[in-house]
Amino acid sequence: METTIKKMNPSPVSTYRWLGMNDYTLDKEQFHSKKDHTQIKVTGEEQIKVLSINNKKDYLPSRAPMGEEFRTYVDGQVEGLKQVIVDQSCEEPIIYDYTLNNESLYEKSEIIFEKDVDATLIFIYRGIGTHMGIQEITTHPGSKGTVIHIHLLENQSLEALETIVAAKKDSKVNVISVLMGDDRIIDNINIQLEDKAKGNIQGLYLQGGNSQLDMNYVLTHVGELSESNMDIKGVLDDQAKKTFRGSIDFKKGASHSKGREKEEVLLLSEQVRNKAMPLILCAEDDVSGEHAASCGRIDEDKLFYLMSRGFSMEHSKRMIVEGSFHPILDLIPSEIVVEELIDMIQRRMS
Amino acid sequence: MAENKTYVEDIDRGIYDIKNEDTYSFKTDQGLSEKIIREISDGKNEDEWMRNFRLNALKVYHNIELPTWGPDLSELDMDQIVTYVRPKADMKGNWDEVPEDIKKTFDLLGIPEAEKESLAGVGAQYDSEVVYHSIRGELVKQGVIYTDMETAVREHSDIVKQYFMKAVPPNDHKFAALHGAVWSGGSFVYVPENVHVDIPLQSYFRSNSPGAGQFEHTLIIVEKGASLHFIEGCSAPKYNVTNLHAGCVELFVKEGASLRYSTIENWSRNMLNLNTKRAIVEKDGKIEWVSGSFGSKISMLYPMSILKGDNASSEFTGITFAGRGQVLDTGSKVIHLGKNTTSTINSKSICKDGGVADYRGVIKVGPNAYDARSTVSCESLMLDNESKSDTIPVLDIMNSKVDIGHEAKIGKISDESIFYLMTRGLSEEEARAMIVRGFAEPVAKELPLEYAVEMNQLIQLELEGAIG
Repeated sequence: METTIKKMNPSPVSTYRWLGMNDYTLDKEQFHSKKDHTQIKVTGEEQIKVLSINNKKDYLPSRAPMGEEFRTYVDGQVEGLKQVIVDQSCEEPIIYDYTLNNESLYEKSEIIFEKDVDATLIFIYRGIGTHMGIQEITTHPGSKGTVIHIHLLENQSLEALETIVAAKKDSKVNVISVLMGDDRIIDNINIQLEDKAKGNIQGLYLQGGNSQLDMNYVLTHVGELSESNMDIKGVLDDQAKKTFRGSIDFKKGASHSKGREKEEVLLLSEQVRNKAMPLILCAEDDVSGEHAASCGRIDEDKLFYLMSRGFSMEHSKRMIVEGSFHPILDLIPSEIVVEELIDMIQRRMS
Repeated sequence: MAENKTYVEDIDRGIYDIKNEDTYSFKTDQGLSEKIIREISDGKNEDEWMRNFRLNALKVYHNIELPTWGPDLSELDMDQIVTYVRPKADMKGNWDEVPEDIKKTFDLLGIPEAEKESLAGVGAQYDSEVVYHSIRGELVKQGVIYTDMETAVREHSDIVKQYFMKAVPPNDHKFAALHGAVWSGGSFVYVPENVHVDIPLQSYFRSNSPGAGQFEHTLIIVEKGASLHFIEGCSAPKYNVTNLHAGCVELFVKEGASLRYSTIENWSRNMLNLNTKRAIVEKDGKIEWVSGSFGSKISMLYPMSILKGDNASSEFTGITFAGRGQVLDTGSKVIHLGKNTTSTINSKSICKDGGVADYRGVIKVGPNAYDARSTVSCESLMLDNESKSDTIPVLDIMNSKVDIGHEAKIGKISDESIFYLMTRGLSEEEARAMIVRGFAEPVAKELPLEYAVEMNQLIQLELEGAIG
């Protein structure tokens, strides 16, 4: 049996081989064993329709942005498909809170935001274990769908999630990814935007220890007048290694579209490894695209200012990190979840 | 909102497509074998070490795959490419002795004018050998060596041996290996300690034989505290058989030295231009690249600066213009190794009529390169929606005491700008041309006057195909 899953999370366009950044190879040896039931706490599900479908063949997304080997592997591990149908607007977010207990969780799910609805789904993964999933999201015309993934799996865990979104005409989709987990995270978000669709990918990550983070986010403009925005804020500490691949892809015909992409990284330790590949792919002239990536240590002037006001070095650093995360945290419509995240950030930073 | 765009037939590239009758005196067989390498080496009367170097590089060549990324090179068939062509004219030191038909082409390209303008030595490469070479007496007095690579290998082998393919080793990639095996022609410059060469040194070369590859090697060493501006320009006529150019440029900038390397590449539209350029910069040294890529069918060109010493710096200013049938994949790479090293990359690309103009680059910061600073800025201008432009940068940072930024923008000429200029009395075509010239201005102003003029001429020629 193969001991690795290869060519995961590949960049839409590859570059120099010697950098080793075109894709990710995952070692399967540390996977946890499967259990029958995963502990899950669900809030607000009564607002929507949830179906379990066993005929899995028909429900595999046509694109496999996380790679074919990953697709085949997960498909072989999961029996059925969970279908979440949001057929009315929901005021309260629907929260799925998973706790893994030294186990592997494999899932395939389909989330459908019906015409003109507005709703938020939050998925939280905590505990210790292996989580691998394929999530396909469709936002139908006029709808606004927000899907938030919060990854809190702890030490010795593995997280690999493929999120594939089709944003139909006139719809809006936000995918927010909070990566606070440890060890290894492979995160893939791939959004296709039709005419007048809007797509946002917003993310924050705080990685320390020996953790490895591999991100591959793609916003593809297929339709006219579509808009995209990618905004990622990260902090790397200890010996953390991170690879960020972010692409805005304007296909021919996506005229009058706009796309922006930004990644900002704070580096707290000298041993971190920070890799970034921010791409713009463009086959249409009448568009406007921008990307920016930057990284550096904490601004010493800011630090000095806070310390001169009586805060300790540690506290000052924590405040700066928290400050940089706030624009993303503010997007999460659940106070309990945000409070827990802030607690966690503070704990991690001390 | 419909836009009216009118297209005219592809432009006549005028003097740039003029070719001479193919009158080479010696050609190797069409494939690539040890026998051919020995023939090349024997033909040049090379020492044992260079012959062995070539044979080793050939072994490496056979063991490396083609790149798995970047433009499609499947049309490349090395067995069909004559790797070496020796022109009839031998080394000449005097313009009058250069054969008439060769001279005619050079005249059209403006070489003697450059000479008349009392610029320094002109080394013009015709096919694979340097046919014309001159250098001002005063440079010789200063101890500057400026000669063709073959002469350098013979007469300055101690220096050449020390540096030849040390910045770009043959095992770097397939075309570096190929180059190591079959290199021919090129320039060699050695500037001794604390010597400042005030006038730019120029070399103009072109390749001319159907199916012939061009593998010139440029080796420049600027010693401690010295400075130099070197200009290389290329132009080649149009042919039907695929042409391959796999040149190599190696620049060594020593402590406190500075080197500006400017080049305008304007290959014919069937050329596969797979050129490797690299500079190693020591403590307090400075390298400046000014690079214009026009012409060719496919280009893969990413000049690399290795900032080895503390406080070393690099600056890259580049422009790429891709028209119909062209894939120009260009950019720049910087490796920060020393402390307090600085790099700046400014890249502009323009594409039209289905051309592909990509930016591809990398900034790598090593674990000990504390206080490294880097700014990368890429701008792409698309003149129609038949064309493509991808921006593919990589940042790889191995320590935290850095300040690194990358920015890119893509778009078309805004209707507002055109409208504004038209209200000021310009026609739409003039307005567009003015905006494109303005876009290219930061590159043009880095070039010596006659090169800036040539570049603007090229842009004008290219544009006339797009607007009308």
